Amino acid sequence: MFERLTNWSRKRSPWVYHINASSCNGCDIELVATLTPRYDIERFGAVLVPSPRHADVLMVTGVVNAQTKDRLRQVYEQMPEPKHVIAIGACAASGGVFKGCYNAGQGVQDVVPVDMFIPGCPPRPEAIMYGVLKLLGEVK
Amino acid sequence: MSQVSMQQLQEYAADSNGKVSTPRKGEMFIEIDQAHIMGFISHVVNDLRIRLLSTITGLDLGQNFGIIYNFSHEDQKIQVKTTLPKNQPTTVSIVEIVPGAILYEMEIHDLFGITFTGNPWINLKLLLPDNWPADLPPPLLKSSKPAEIRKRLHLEVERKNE
Repeated sequence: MFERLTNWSRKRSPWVYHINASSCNGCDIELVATLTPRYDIERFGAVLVPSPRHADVLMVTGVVNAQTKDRLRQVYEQMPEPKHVIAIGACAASGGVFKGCYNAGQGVQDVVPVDMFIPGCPPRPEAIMYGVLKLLGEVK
Repeated sequence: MSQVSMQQLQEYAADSNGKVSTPRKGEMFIEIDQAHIMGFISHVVNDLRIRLLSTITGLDLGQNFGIIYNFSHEDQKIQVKTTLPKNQPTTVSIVEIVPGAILYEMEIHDLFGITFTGNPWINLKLLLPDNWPADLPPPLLKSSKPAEIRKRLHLEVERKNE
């Protein structure tokens, strides 16, 4: 009974935390467009929170490099369970245009477990919204 | 402000054993010995009033390093090139003349390992990560291998399902 209630509330109000793991800001601008009134992801209950300790969903943009790798791991470990990670953009999925560079990793999944990839350089706000909603459909 | 007179630049360059060429319209390419670079840039900035240093470019030329100071003046570009040997990668900093050069020199020090004497921030890192091992070669040298650097920085991960 209580479990059903917590699941219901989690599904209807996912609090998201955004971390820029050395992104070029393209994906971040699209993410801001998703959160602000034009696309307004808040109507599905998704609120941007200022601390990872309050967050259910971690949104990562950008290619993970040697400087941001440990920081991303720290932020992920601060989140309470259950936690989900969405990797936004081509760089977060595979390294993107920076793949093969001396200081670029090959995506977020090498550092933290990822539940959903949203491809695109940058992805449209509709695509980010679709990804978040699809992830919510999987949350049980 | 008028156009930079080619003649004046040529005179300054001749004073410091440089040679001037115009690869394209509106561009001037000047090669100067490393010993005269400070005096020549002082002429360009203080006497000709070309104040905007767009950037400083580093080059790996095999045996030598190249440094190009790219100045902008209205629709003209003035490029001042100097070379220095790889076994002694030290040159003089132009921070006294162009204060904004401090970051460009830090960038070249990070990526090529060239030391600029007189730059107060030269030993601080600008672009490289904090955990960069001191014994790694600078990343933009032709001899350094990106894959090996990634391995040292623990960025290479073996994928199982590929």
